[in-house]
Amino acid sequence: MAIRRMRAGVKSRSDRRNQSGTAIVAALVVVTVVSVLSMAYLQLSMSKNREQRSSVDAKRAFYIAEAGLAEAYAGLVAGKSGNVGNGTIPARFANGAFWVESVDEGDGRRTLTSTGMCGTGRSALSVVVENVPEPVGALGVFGDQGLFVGEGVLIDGYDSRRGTYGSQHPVVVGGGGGGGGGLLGGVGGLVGGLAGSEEGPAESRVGCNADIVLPGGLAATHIDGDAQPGPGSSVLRGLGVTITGTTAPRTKSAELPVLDVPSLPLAGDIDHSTVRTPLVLSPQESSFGALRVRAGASAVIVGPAKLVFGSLQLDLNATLTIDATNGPVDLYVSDYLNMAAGSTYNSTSHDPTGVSLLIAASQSIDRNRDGIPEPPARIQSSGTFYGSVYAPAAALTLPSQLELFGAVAAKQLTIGNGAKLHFDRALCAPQNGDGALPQMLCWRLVELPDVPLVQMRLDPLSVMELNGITPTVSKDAHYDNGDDPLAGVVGVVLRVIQGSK
Amino acid sequence: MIAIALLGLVIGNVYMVLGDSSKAFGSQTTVFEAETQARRTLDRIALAVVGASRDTLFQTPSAPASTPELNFTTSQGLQDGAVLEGNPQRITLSNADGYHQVTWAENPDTETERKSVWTKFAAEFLEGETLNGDDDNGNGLIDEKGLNFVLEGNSVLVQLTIARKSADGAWITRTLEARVTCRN
Repeated sequence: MAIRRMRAGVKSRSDRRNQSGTAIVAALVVVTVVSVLSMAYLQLSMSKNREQRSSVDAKRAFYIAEAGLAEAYAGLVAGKSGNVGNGTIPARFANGAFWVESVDEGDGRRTLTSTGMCGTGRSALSVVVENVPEPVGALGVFGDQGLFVGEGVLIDGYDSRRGTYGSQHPVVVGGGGGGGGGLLGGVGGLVGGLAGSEEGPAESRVGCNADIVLPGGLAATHIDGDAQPGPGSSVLRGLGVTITGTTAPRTKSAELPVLDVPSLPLAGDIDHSTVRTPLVLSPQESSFGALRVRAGASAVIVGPAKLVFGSLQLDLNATLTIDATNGPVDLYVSDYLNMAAGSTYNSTSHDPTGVSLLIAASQSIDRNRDGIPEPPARIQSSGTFYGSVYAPAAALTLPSQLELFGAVAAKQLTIGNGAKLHFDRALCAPQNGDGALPQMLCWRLVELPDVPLVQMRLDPLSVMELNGITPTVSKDAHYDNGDDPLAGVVGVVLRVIQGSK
Repeated sequence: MIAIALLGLVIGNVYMVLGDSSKAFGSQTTVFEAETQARRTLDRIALAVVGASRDTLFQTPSAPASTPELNFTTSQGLQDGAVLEGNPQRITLSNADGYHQVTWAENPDTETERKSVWTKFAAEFLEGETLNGDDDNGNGLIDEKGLNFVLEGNSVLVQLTIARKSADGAWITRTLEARVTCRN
């Protein structure tokens, strides 16, 4: 009995010993499976997170690269080279960095390549921009093959966008120097300052692709602004000539674009001689073989109008008035312009940007059969004209009786004694989409450059921080023309430090 | 007996938990894959279209019409002083091997054609849309395909639906859209 009990006790202990641990095996299996599932789920979440972060970084890098292009473009407009930062020390922007390389492609074209970096994202974009030449009016008072400025001439500037000429030029009481009028008398005679203008009066621009000749004389000649001759040419000036700005030669010649005379519906010839009734021309766009306003008669051209004349003649005491109050007036003269002495040429609007006299005439022809060829363009009128005069193929003389507010450019330009020209800087501004701002020709994605900061695919700001490099803020990272963006960074080696994100 | 019953109960519960977890995991994986596919494909389309010349998007209609095919060219930069246009490219939704594929092709329909499949899991129609001549999903488009392009001024609206079957046979769909302004 005791033996049986003892055996039973041994068996019971043995069974318990055999059973112990079976629960933990099952528990371990369950825990393992749950752990594996949890790990897989964690991996999935992390993978999803990485994928999303990578996608966001790529997009941010793209937009930072676009911001780089915009920054470089702004630099170009401000006269910089277009280089911003460099591959070793990029410019900082938001939570990333970029740099822009600018390559001169010739013909006024430039390729800007911007590389943007943010986190692990990288993007490289490229645009080609083209410098659009300034409007012809921006040349100011300009002669292509020669510029002669007579005695007692006043050439100054103003900006019609800021107000009238009178509001930007000081009132003169008394006057100092002789000859050229009280306005030229020097600062001692100025009273009242610059009424209606916070800034000083705008300066004029006088230029030429050859020499500028100012013989001077008893009457003072005054140029308030620059007078720049062509490359290698000079300003030849005599006594009594004042030029307040630079007389340094231009770095390159300015090209006067050929005048493209538009083809407009033909409306015949007009020979107006009725003295009592003025001729009013108000067609929007027309072409006339000839317009002749006979002695004592008058004609008014009302804008908006674009008119082409084969010949335009004003006889003695004839008057031509341009009314651009309601719209711009563009007058093209293709063969012959003659505004005789004693005639009057006026404009009612005081906005020089609204009136253009565009002279395509170029041939000297004996038209009155007196054996002497007449020049293609002759302006001997008196009056006050607001607008721009452009004669790229003809010599032009502006008489002293005509006061011009605006700009004038001709093949050869002579400014008669005592003439007054007031250059309007508003003519420098882009007009009709033709502006001085660089235009984008093409945009494209390009391959990433082979630069350590790009290839290592780490957060660029962290890498730079770990290497002791402080990136410059983008607006301060521009390089001037002629500066080498890589000067000073040659030999800088970025270390990749373990643990950098 | 009681111990065996309890053990069976526990094992059954564990099995059910594991089964549900596995299903959920599979479903999440499919959702993740669908989202990833949709985002990647849409990013690739957007990057291709952003450099396109606006004038070359000649087959892109305006709403309520849309097209599953976009033909365009991109700029290659300056060459010999002139801006060089690249080869014609096409992004389209097509049926092949039983899949609705989004494909990109360079020089399409020529001997020099280069082709790449960007996804095989596009839906035939955009999410919520069926072929019935009506605007079922209320997005202003009628019977639009799983990939469709709509011209909006200088921009192109790209909409994409990715449809994938999960392990339990249910369809997982993800729809994304991007509005891309052509830079050229």
